[in-house]
Amino acid sequence: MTATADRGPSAARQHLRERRRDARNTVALWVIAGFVVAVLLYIIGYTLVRGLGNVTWKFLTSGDFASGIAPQLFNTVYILILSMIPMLLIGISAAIYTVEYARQGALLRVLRFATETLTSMPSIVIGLLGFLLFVTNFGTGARWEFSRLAGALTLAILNLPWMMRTAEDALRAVPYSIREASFALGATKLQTVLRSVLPASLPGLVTGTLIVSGRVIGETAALIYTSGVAGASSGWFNLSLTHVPGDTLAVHIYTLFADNPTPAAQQGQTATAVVLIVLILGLNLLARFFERRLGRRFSGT
Amino acid sequence: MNTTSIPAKRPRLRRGTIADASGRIVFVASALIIILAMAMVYYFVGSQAYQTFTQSRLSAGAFFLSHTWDAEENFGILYFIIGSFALVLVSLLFAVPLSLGVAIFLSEAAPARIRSPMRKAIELFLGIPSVIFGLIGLIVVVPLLRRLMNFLAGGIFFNGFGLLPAAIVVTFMILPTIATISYDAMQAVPRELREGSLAMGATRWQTIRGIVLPAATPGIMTGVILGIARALGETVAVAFVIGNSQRLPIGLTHFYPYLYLGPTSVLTTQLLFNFKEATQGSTLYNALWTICFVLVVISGVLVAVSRFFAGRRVYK
Repeated sequence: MTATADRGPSAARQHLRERRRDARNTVALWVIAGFVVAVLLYIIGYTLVRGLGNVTWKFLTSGDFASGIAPQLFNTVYILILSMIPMLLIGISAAIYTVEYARQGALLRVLRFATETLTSMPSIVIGLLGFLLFVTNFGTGARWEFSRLAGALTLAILNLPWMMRTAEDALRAVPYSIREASFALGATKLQTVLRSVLPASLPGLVTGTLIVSGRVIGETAALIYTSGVAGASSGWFNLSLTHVPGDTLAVHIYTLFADNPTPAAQQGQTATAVVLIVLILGLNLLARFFERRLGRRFSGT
Repeated sequence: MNTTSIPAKRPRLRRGTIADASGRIVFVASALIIILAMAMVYYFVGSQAYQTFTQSRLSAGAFFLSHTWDAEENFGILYFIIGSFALVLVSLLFAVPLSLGVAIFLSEAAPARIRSPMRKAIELFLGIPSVIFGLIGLIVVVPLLRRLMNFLAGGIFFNGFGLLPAAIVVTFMILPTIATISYDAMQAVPRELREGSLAMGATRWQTIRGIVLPAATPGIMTGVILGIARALGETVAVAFVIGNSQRLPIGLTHFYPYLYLGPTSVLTTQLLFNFKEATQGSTLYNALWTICFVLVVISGVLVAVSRFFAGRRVYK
């Protein structure tokens, strides 16, 4: 006999009503979840289906407007590398400070506020700041113009807080006993950090770096006014840091939209989208792989 | 054990001290660089924005309260502010129920073997760049809405661009943010609370409504605020579908009594489309920097609000 039965027929009826509502809402939850996953699969699937046919070897290796993306591929990788160098150095160092050194205090509070502010800032704002700082160099004579270095440094500012956050997670995941063992052997703080904690956090750092790389590759708004929207021009395949503009894959998709969308442009657009999605999914899968693989190695199981 | 019980004659680690000190300086300096980056945003955007009212002699009233923007003499951003807020509102209207549904499903209802792959799929959403969302909006959502709205209106009145497709696109961009943070907040609610509720005879839904959601509310609010920040700052994806028209997004059409979320402009797309025509020192240039400053201030306020909710979290 149930407890509700003792409280008379109205309580039993209410209980029944609640049971029905529970069942109804459970169904609703399944429907919502299914819908959202379906949309996700649709976005990826539709892009692949629409664009995959146009991704040919010629498309990947030639440099004509809308018919080839070799310059954009090159620029994407080049800007990624350029931006990751300062980002890794500063991001990991700052993370070491917060995790290993910092005591609760004003500096840490201001730093937290800074990272939260920067991560919630619209990327176009950071892009325009990059324009001011790097493209015009405050209107001084030393203008860099639209250039890949300007774009890379802007992306570094934009993603630094994310890099720092993932590095912090990686460092925190290192068990405290490793630090204690290092100290017990007489190592100094710096030795402990550089030789014990940092190597042990490597899987997390690699994973985090790959995920941030995905963000860097996909960024558009911050690049339009820093590395520029210039399409393929002669001499794209050079390493000039300044004065040579370079559009990335993501910017290229936007440019093809902004300059009148012809059918040819749309084909180029979807094909470029395929390449971009494959790159980003690849980075994400690689990140997962490293997470599991190296994680197992370091945890010793 | 007490640290004072360690003998006073601790071995001094002399060899490491200089390296140690310089290492510490490098780490602190890196942290300072990040703080400097934030300070630069406020300082440079702020000082550029200030010139609108000094160098270009625009009055604050003519800037914030006027809706005429011709990029030559009139620089009123009222419609763009309204457009941005309308975009955030309509997106939240779609995104909050959907993401809460996903989060509740994942946290409370999903079988274990669905939960993990689905969570990973949602996280994958976070990695998809905004330009892809914009493209999908352009080649899928806009034509779909064009056909649907013209069918409903019984004539060719709509081109499918506007606030509605922008809100749909933004919905799916902020959904993973809100869903994952809400999910984490729900997971942080102790199991004992749920067990207590179920033991009292409550159904699962009553437990969710009465126990889990209230306990997770501050965390959910943090997610929603971050979603608002992302919706407000989204530029490229919105630019693909917003229609770039300087008028109010909301209104009844002349000929048809439907609530019409039509072509408009928001703060971010206005920046994107206009900045290339702005020469340094012109009024347009300064006015665009002031739009930037408006965005910076709003996102600063959002950070403050999210900190308020973070401080109210009971379960972490």
